[in-house]
Amino acid sequence: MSVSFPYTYYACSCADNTSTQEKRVSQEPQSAQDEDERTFDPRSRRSNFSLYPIEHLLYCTECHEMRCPRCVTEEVICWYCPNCLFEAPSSTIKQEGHRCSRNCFNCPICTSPLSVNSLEQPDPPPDDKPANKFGGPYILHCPYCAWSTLDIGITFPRPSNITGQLAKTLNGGLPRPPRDRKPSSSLKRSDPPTTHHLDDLPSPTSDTSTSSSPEPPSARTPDPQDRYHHLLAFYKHQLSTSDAALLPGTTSTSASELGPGSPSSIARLLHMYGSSIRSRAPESGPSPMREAATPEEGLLIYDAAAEAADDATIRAMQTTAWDTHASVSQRLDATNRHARAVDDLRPISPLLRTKRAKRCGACRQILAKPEGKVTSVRSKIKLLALQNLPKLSIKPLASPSTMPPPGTSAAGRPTSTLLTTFSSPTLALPALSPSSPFALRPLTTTHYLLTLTNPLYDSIRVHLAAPSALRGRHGAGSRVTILCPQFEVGANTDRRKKGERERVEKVRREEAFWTVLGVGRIVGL
Amino acid sequence: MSETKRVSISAPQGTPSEGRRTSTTAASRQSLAAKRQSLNFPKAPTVIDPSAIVSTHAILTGLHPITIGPDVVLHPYCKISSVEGPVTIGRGCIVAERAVVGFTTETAAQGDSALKERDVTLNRNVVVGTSAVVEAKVVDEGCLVGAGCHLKGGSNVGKYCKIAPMVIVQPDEWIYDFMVVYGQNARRRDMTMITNKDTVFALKKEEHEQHLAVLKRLIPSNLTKWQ
Repeated sequence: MSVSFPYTYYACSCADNTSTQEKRVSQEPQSAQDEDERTFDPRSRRSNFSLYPIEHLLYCTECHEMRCPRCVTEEVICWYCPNCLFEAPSSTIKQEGHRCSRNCFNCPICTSPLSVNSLEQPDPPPDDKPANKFGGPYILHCPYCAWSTLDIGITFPRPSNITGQLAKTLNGGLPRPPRDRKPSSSLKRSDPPTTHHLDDLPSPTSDTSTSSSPEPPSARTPDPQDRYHHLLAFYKHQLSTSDAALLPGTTSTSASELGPGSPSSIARLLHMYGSSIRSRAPESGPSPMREAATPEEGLLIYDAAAEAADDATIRAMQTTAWDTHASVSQRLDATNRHARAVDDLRPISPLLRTKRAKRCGACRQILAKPEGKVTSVRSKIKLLALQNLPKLSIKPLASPSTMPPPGTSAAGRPTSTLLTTFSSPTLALPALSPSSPFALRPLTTTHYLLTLTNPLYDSIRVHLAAPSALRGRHGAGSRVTILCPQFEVGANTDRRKKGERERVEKVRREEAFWTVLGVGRIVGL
Repeated sequence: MSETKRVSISAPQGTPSEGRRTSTTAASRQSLAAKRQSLNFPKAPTVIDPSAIVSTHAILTGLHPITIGPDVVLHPYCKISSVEGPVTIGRGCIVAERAVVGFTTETAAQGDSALKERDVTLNRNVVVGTSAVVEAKVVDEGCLVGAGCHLKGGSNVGKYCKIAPMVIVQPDEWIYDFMVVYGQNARRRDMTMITNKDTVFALKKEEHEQHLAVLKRLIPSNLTKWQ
């Protein structure tokens, strides 16, 4: 945070409440002196998380407390695509995931948005033909780095529903083999061949030679998307059936129940080793589920062929040029996590964004609510701390060069050049750079002007206090003298009607109702 | 008359030497252009093909010859500078406004003084984007130089390259054919062009021809100014 010195931060009380109350419960009652030490220390590391500029804070009008980003709860109002700005209904999110399912794609090389271009050959066109009638195969093309789906050998016959067409095509232009067996139907068999496959695991060569030779090659090395769908179906099946299978009364003796990964075995093991756990957590918790045990269920079995494939990949990486490999940043997106070469990359459909409402963590009152329309950036509700709390701002009263240095003369020692790197604390909160023109110098008195702005329509009474000597690494021993510790700030005199007032506030928020109040003085030792 | 009016409006913050301005429209336009660029440009010796489009406000300056091929389009306020060496612009090139092709006096002073050959050549169908600076020795056929690029002196750009906007190409760099330079000097080969030569080439050619046709319709040419 590069804020110009000096500046003010507000401490939200949320972190304070939890920590001190827990302390009170766990420890015996402390003395009053200890209570003093528990005042908020802006210098402790923990307080980094509860200090905010007032512009970041909200205000709950029910609890009469400021609310920082840590003590509000958020709820999603809508999902939308940042590219096409279309709203995605939440049912679609649950089914298809949080990516845009329309024609939006980002370049896997440079992440800029791709455009759909026509590849139709330019015939010598008759002049009456309208210019925007493009036919022929279509590609996704990056206008920035000139990548296109031709690089991975994919063209689309239609310009619409690119997502659907892309899902059916592998890199290289071959159609993705259809998922012939419905995974769910295979799962519904009463005895999946769990034990058989687990027994085969130590001898993968025999396994590949016998069992998988009749299968199509695509089934032996399933591509990640297929495997994902298998796993998804498997877990859905498990979720729907595990509750019924694990009822205490039912005794199932099918083969699947005897395997080491089966739910009943897990339950038995839990019973053996963790009787205490079991007594504490009764049957009401989520019942244990079996893990995927066959390739049909999404298990990826390690075998020698995979190792050979890895070796081939490594050899290929050794021989091919640097720019044919996908970079780490290109593989960061989940779509391309498995890709090693640039040829394996696929267009990335952009992640959907959300609009969120914010509620008070204590009383659930809505503090901020954006408009439901995706294209609108306005809020329906926004309870800002800026409109409900006095705004504190602090600035040096005069520049250090022109200011008379009374502290220096009192101490009888001029500012030593040896001490110039000493960075002193501020009256406000943390770190200042020694290079700042207003940085505190040792043995020098610096005047600061604290200004309070009262946005309320009632006058407020202010009591200022400062520790007798500042603590901390930087400014140990500096003294703060507040020249006017108590005063009153008059009410906001802007008595116009609300709508009118807001209009005016927008124009001259800066100059509205300032009241200059206290003058503080910080004395370096 | 409108020109003189504009001059009188800008007079308060203009140059104090009122007498240098003459009353003829052409001369006031000259002085306007000179003021805008804060330099007085001598006309360069030029060979311009009659089919080229050179806007009135384009600036062709320098002592070395400037050769402009057929179907070239020079936008208003682009600058072709042959101060340090001859400049050749091949058939069908497009130079957008505020772009500079060739070494100017300022850039030559900043650059490598050891650089001997300061001639600049754009081959066929090169498109130079807005406010780009091209001091490259050769920019070969079909290149696209993005907006705000700087191809520094002595660099060479191969055929059908694409220099993405705001990229700076260092002196004496070679950019090979079909390269795309983008981002923080990242490079990749444009496999779309390499592997699909016939289709993509035809499309690019068509696109460029349409671009030229539109510009020819929109930009009034004033060749007589330079001949």
